[in-house]
Amino acid sequence: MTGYPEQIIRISAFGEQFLKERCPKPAGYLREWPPIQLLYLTTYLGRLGCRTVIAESHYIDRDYIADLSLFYARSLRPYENFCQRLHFFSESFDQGRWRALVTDGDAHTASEAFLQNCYLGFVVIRPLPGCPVGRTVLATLGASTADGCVREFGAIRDNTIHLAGFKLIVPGLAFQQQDQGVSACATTALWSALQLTAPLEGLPAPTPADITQAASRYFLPGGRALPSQGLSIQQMCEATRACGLAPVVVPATDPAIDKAHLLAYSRSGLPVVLALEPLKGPDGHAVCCLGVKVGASQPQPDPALHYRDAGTSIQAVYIHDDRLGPYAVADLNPYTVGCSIRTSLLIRWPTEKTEFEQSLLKALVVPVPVKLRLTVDRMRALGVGIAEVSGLLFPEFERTITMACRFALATTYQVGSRSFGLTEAGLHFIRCELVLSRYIGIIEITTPDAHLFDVLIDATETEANPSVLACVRRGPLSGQQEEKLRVLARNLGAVYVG
Amino acid sequence: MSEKSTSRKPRGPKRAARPARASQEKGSIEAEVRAALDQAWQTVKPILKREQDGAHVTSELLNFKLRRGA
Repeated sequence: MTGYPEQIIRISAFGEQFLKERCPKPAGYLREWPPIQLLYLTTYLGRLGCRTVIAESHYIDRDYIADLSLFYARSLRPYENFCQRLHFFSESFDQGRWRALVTDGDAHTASEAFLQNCYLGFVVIRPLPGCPVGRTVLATLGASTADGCVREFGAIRDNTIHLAGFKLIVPGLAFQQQDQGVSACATTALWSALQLTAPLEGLPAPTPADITQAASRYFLPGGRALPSQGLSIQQMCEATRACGLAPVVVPATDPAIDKAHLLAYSRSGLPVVLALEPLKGPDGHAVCCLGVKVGASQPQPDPALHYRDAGTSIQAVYIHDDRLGPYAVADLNPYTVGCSIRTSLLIRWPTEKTEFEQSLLKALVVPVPVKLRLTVDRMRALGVGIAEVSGLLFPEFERTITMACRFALATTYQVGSRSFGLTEAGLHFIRCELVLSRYIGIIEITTPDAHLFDVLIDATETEANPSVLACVRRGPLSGQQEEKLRVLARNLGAVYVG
Repeated sequence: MSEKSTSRKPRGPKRAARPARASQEKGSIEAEVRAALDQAWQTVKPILKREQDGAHVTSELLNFKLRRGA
């Protein structure tokens, strides 16, 4: 009879060699070691200010054990069914301090607060030779960048971790390295995206094994499901549907429109799988986009138009690239191919300007809740019209009126309405009288100095017009401006809330 | 303050009692908004067409294989 395992928790100082020593080169492994993901994680954790690591020697990881039961358990090599889990902290402490934190029962709350304040997240180390980086959730970098832009990580969530009886929370999105047994890049990117979108709808987040099986159930162009040969976009759609969500496929068209879509989905809190076409090599690649780097909106280049598109403010996207690491920066640039201009992604290391790879954006695949039937392009079809009308009606803003689109849970919007500066009657109306769909589309009309108004759309409809529910004043408007907005709302068949 | 979309129906005495100047001003705002709407839709129509034209999901796109190695 096999005995039960032991748990050993060790505290170590974090340094450049830590992950390399923790993951020794597998016997007989001829390729470069350590893998690039470990080098990236070392650099990234250094940037987060990591000082201490707590290592759990025996951790059962849900995703790994599902991969093991589907694939690795039938191998000749006896793979272990457990992993190690490494927790990272920005404060220095040793084994003695840890013991005191754990054993001082009276100070449990204070000990938990101390750990929480300096918690940076965790990495699961799998017993797979060559691809040790399993489920990894790390904190994001701060909001401001050195070049004066803003990091917006829209598609992350709070992850709760239990460590020795302490409950810790890290906001982030799960990342892992592809193992090429159960998952290649597409499975891994979709897995990251579904870690957020599935729980949003009360659905269980699928494991990589679930995704690969669902994707290859009815359609198998590559000949075999396992070892994974990668997925087509159609297979990703199939896997998304299998877990109870709806896939939205958006072909990349030109940089302005691609950026507008990326901004809209990111600000809606929905991760996007980006299908990439490398400049070199035949195989496509998939990464998961979970945030955007935003600067100022660019002035409208077309003199006939009176508004700006918020999409022009995107400088870069933050992606989980399973060949590199979490929250990698990818600059978005126009790239001329023949007669057309396409969006290129220049993926970089976290600290330097060093280029990792350049690719062209092929498509966006967005897993969305099934009740969200309205798409960003249909919302934009109304949004550009409303923005242009606003530019004409409010010439005092001198063509700085900016239009952005996003989705939100109606309940979240209602809670946020407390800070809109509405009248008492307006606030009561929006919270108690206005009937909203579970998700709403929001066309935001702003200027660089103020948020003017929102147009709320019923997201259970397929077309944005005529599906406007309300026009909500967000900033201080003069009497005449407010009257114009009231009339505009009426023309859209909507309620005015001011 | 909120105003429902059903406000298009006549409001009876309240509206009748409004001073003529305010009513005229309101009428001119109505006309201004209506004109801006007409002009805006004409202006953005080609932009929308351009956005829609590029947004077709083809079978080539659906079969695009994503399998880049580590």
